[in-house]
Amino acid sequence: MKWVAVVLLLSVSCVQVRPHERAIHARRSMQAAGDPAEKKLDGHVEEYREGSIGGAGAGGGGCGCN
Amino acid sequence: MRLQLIVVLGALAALGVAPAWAQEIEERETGDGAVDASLGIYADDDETTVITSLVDGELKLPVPAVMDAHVLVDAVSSASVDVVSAATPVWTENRIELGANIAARVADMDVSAGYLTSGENDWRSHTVLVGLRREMFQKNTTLSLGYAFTDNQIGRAYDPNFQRELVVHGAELGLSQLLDKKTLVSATYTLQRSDGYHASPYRFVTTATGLASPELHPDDRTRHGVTLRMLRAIGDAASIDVQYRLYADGWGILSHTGTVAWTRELGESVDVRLRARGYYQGAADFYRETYEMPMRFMSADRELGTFWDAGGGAKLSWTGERLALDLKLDGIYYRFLDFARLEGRVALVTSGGIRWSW
Repeated sequence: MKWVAVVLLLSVSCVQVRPHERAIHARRSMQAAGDPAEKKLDGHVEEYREGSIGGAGAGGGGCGCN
Repeated sequence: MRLQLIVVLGALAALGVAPAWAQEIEERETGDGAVDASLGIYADDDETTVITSLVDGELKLPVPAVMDAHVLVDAVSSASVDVVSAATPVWTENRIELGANIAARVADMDVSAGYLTSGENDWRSHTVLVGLRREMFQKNTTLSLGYAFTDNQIGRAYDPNFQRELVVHGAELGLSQLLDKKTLVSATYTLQRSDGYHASPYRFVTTATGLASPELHPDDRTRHGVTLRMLRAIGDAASIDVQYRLYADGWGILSHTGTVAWTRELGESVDVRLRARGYYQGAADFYRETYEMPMRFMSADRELGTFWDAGGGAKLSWTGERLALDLKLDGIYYRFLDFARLEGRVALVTSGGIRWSW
């Protein structure tokens, strides 16, 4: 597992997009982080009603669910 | 709380959120900040309604750091089949969550730390979390690492002698990479280990012999989730976001989640997003629709059974110089394949938010 991570890191480091080539990545529709409030609200619906976790979580403890 | 208590997942969420504002630390002036207010409503045809109110504020400090705090309140009302089967009337309940985070730039690295607490009448939870984030290779690659610890104290209404504990450790490792001028890819691995009381103190399992006994879940659970994502620009004002998650845990649940979102910018300040999501999971090893005889582990939790859900919806956003507004509506259909009391349910989820920044 450790070596897989190292190989992955080395391979992606070969890709270079220079700062002046990132105009498209700066668009509103390309913001990967998304809306934190929306993530929190979606987490209530998804992770409290499904048996899985990962990728994007929910907040707090307890339930607040059905 | 009379329906079900679900293992706390919360800490890892904050790890995912914190880097979003940590990213802006160096670009902001002292005193810059924002306030968000959001309202979300979940309602399904199983007689459950959850109204979630969230207020979040953030402020750039005189040092290279951003402080963030939030208050979240859930108001739950339910008469689900779970309630009926537990011979309990319709109930309502509130859950209050308070949280604070600080993110600072230290030696070219974003470091965040936070604390969350939440409480309801029969559950009290405390979480501490830390996160690291570093950009590398001329900001083409971003590596993030987070850890969270949650302690839950679980009680039972009208039973002061019932006291259980659930301790959760969670870690998340993320790697994102610019592939070209139009494409971002990322991979996230989530690991969670929980020890303690995982069942619901209100749920009972009735065997074929007519014997009713409290739900019995294993004392430990190890969970793994891997999420792969690609975000790619389409044309001159749109993007497509594709995500897949594979999840497996020590209870035997294996699940697949797929999400596709298309976002289109309409002019200078309006965005519209269409999104579809599908989910499938296999049952936990010990889950049965009916138990012929008492077993070491038994559950009446349909979220540990085999089921799938599918949904989709639209979001409309408007972003001004200081003010931003958004409105979202989703519909979700759940299909339970081995839960006799409920074959399926339909849910509507809507939310709206307003953000003021200065």
